[in-house]
Amino acid sequence: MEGMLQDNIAIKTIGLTKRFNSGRKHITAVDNLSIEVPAGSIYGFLGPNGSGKTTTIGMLLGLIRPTSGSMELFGQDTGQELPSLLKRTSSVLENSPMYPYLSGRDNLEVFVRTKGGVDKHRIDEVLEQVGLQKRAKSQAKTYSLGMRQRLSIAIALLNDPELIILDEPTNGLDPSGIIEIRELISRLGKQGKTIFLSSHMLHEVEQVCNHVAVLNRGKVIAQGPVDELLHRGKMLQLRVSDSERAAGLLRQVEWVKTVEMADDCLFVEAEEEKFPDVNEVLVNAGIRVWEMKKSVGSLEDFFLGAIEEGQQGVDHA
Amino acid sequence: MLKLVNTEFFKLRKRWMPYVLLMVMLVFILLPIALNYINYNDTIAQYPDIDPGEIYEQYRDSPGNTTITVVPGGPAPVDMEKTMVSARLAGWMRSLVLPDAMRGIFNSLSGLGMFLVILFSASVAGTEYGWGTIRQVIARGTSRPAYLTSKLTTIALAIILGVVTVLVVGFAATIITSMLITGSIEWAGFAGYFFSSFVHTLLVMAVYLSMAAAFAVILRSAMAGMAVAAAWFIGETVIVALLSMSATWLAEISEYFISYNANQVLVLNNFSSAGDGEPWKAVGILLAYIAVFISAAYYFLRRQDLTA
Repeated sequence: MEGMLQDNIAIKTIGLTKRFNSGRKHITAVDNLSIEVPAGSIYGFLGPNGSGKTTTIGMLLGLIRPTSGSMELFGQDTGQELPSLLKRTSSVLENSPMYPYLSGRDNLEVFVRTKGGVDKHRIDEVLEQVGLQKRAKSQAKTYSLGMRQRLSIAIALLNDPELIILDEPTNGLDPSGIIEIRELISRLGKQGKTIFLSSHMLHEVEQVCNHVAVLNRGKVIAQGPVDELLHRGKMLQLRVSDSERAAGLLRQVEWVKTVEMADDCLFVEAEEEKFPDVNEVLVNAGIRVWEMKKSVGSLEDFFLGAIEEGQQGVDHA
Repeated sequence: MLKLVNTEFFKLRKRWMPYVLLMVMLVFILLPIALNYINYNDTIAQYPDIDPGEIYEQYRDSPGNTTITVVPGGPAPVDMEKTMVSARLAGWMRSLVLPDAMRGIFNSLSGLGMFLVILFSASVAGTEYGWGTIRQVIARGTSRPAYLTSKLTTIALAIILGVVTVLVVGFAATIITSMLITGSIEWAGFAGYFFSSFVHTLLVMAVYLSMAAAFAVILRSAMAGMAVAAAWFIGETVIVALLSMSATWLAEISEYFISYNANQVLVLNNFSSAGDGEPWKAVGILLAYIAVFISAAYYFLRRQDLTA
């Protein structure tokens, strides 16, 4: 915990880069990645397939050697210290690796034995937590994808970690399983654990994460608190009698941050307490206001917009 | 490290593969003992006028590798059939009566045993790549050198355990056959022979262990590790045989191959001789191979990207 208290950042990467050599080709999977994951946050790591999410996680967990850049876990440079820092973390890896000939319980016992300091009773607790107690004695090779994923999550929960790194944890789970995992993540977040969640499921991320980073082609194209990125509580959606005049008028108001027009709507960004004043300005100018509501941006819209902007940036370059 | 080795043993004892390999080895040593004893008994019953005690006395007094021909009833006239039968009986006695019988067991360990060591070592060192569990272990804070050290230690200890099991079972079986055939056991010099043969066998096994484990790690696959190490094991024997036939400097090259030096060490397991080579040079070369293979395994594992 002392590391987290030092600067309150659980994960920090500075200019992290990974290039793979494939014959004569060099593929840059992660390009100069700099992120900061606040301790105690639930951090969504988003990006399309091949954007570098799993490679980044691989570097954080010491599985992949970075080409350049540096990483810090709990405020300490990973360098030679990575194995000892990783003892304070847990992870659910892509494809849920496990020993196929061992039962679910024995798979957990392997990691209890490896780690040490974990009570064997904890095995029963985590099996119950992920709903696998009835199949605990079956060989892991007989498990469905969803069950394998649950077992991976159980392994990750064994040692009460400070930081949990999850790579697509809801892959293969049915809707009720997805809800259970979402609730589990929220519960862990409330316990003060830092969760680093890589996922394609934007809806899930939006529901549980308070911070996100969007990755595209190995680069971070947006990151920050979800509320800030989505301008939650700061965007007002209006339908008025004269949109163009209203937009021009509002752009001249000092406390209005942005005004955008889309279809027949106006989107006005301002502090929440100024929302009634927007109405007043327009009515005083003789513009009739048909509809006025808080605009709640979705992470999906933001994600697609960010990817598109990032793409345009690449194309222009 | 103890925790890791303990965990490796936990994983290992739940796999069927070590038990199958051990059973194969046990069958390979016990079956010849059983068949030889049956043949011996049948022959004794068939030739009641041949005195096995006389054959044993003469065979015991002869040097270890000498072929003996015992002619019952004096030097002439020679009964060819009985002479041949006596020689066969002497051969069976060699494989059934201690201390000579242990030589057959050590020979089996040096042949099939080495091949099984390759399969076992590559499997233990390489399967975790296929299952992806090496990523799980490393991601949970086990350093790569510690991971590999625990693997190699576990493989070595399991092989020692397997060899001891084979020797104990073989020893027990040959105690029984010795008592049945001669009614007594010749213990003179046995302990020293047994211990030195055990060490020679383990040394050569360590070379194949490190080779198979290194290839499994370098190629990130148990199957690839087995294939390359087995190909080396078989191919080298052929190459050494071909090179040895040469009268030029090529013959000298063969002296630096594993199989040549392994033979130089394993030939010491015979009672008779120390071979025609330099055993300490052979031991040095084998140790150098072990060092190279293990260093390569550590080097490559440290540099590997463990992707899914």
